[in-house]
Amino acid sequence: MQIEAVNITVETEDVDLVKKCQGGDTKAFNELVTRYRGKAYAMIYNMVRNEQDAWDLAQDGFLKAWKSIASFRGQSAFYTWLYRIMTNVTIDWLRKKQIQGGTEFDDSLELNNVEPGSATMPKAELLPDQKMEHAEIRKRIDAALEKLSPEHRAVIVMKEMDGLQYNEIAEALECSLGTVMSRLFYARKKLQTLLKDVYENI
Amino acid sequence: MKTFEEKLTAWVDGELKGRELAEFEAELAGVKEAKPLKLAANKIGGLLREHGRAPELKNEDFFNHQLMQRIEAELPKQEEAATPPRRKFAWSLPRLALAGAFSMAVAFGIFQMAVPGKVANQPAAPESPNSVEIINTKGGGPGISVSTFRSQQNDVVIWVEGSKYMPDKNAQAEKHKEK
Repeated sequence: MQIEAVNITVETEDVDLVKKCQGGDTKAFNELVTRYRGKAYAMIYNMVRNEQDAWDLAQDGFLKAWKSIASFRGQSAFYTWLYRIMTNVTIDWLRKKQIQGGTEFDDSLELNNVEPGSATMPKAELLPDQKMEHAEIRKRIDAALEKLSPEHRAVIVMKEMDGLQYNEIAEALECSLGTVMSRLFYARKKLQTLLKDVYENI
Repeated sequence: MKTFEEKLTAWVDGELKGRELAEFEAELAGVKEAKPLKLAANKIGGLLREHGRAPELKNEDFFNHQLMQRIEAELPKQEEAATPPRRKFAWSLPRLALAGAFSMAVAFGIFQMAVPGKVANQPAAPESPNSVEIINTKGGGPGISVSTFRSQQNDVVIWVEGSKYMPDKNAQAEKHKEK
């Protein structure tokens, strides 16, 4: 009940800030950026698996949001609207990367040539061998997600990492619930093949 | 109507309830792979949540600073796009006037040619030797008719209908201006 009240307050404040932005107030937009930059960055990172790319795409997403803020009518929460923009920017970028780089989203590729000792983000201090293990798992996850198509990657990330419900994913991707469930089925199926040895050994 | 894949996904995520859940679990009774599939899906979810999470955004203030600089750079372009294009409007006025004058001239010409009442009301024109010559050409036939009238500009117009051929010299305009 208290959490609900807090959410309503945040949304009301968002609406006020959006109105100011629509009047050309860049300071109000700066405030919205401060509120949502962390979530937006994390969501994009989960899809692109690279800090620099996630930074650049989050910047592009916010710039796009500023340019089109006049079209925001408040039919959904500001963050839902922003999330949709960020998702579109990221999926478009992944598609372009796929075309330019000739990457095939195919689960038949070899995945066992993983470099050990890569950078990691442990939650707490870990022993060196644990760090190594975490780094390897992370690397395998990155490689597996990279083999998924942008659409399949988006649904699995939204469901498993961002914790969104089917209807929220459908709204963000502007597709039907059936499409979300179907994409989720195939994304999981591919990940099961790609990460079988990882999750079976944990 | 959900497909099997959709139902299976909903079942894995615990989204099937009541009768739909009971019916689907009855359907799955003979499928050995169903439970391992659910277990694997849950493990993958756990793996992604534990090891796949994004690092925190570093240099947050610089993120805002860089973005605001980009927005400031975009502002003049946005203002320009929002301003109505005055020059284009100014240019369109003479064009509009020219198009109007041309349309009126064409309309007047069509009116002169097509409205019989207007033709009938014209004062009789002096007989032209051209009209006789036109009738006598080899293209003349029973359907040919030649009439003359005086236009508002005081030109004599020879109006020929039904002729398949006309000598070049008669095709030229013949003007009889009254002094």
